[in-house]
Amino acid sequence: MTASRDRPRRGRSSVAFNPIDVHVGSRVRQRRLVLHVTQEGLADGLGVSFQQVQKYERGVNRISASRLLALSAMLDVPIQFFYEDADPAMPGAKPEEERADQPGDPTSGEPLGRPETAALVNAYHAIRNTTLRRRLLDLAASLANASGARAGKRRPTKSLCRRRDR
Amino acid sequence: MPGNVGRLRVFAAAVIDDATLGADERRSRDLMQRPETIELIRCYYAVADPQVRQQFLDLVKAMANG
Repeated sequence: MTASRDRPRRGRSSVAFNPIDVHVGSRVRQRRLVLHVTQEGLADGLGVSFQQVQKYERGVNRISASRLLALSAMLDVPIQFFYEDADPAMPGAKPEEERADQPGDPTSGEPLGRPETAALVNAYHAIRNTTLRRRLLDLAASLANASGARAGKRRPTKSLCRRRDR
Repeated sequence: MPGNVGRLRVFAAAVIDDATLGADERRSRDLMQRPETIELIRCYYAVADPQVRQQFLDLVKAMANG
């Protein structure tokens, strides 16, 4: 299947990506990074260019079923791995038009690639006291669960944040 | 070209990639892979209110600097 045929159809004015494509792409990226594989390495294995892998990972191009099967073999995970945690309520999973009420939103895009995430992770791990770090993680879980409870209609936050607040 | 050859190429690329990474990049990548970090990111982004997230981030930064 060619790259152009993998491309999700979009309206003339819409640049929204399918949230599931974005999610699947982010899961590919996540697994690739865990295995310390470069985009070039993955591209070579798939027989595509590394730019194509970039587009898959960003959800710009949809990954075909056969290619997803190849990816699951290469990255040594079952197919369902790529769909785990897919939730319309998760950050970055909303189509762009739904985010239009948040212009200049610094949290737009894939969570792992956001500067906000890097700042959080760096600051968190700069704290040497492990007990303090654990307390902060508990606090984050409490905030997340409170947020999920307020949202009401949404799927429970537990699906995103498995940690139980204590 | 899935299968063993594909996998071998991927893992060979992984070894090369690891060797070419700088110390900072390696440290950053290792931090991102920790279960604790993944849990933190999950919980953080499960907070719907961006203001609350910002306040939490400010708190973590303050703790890190203090």
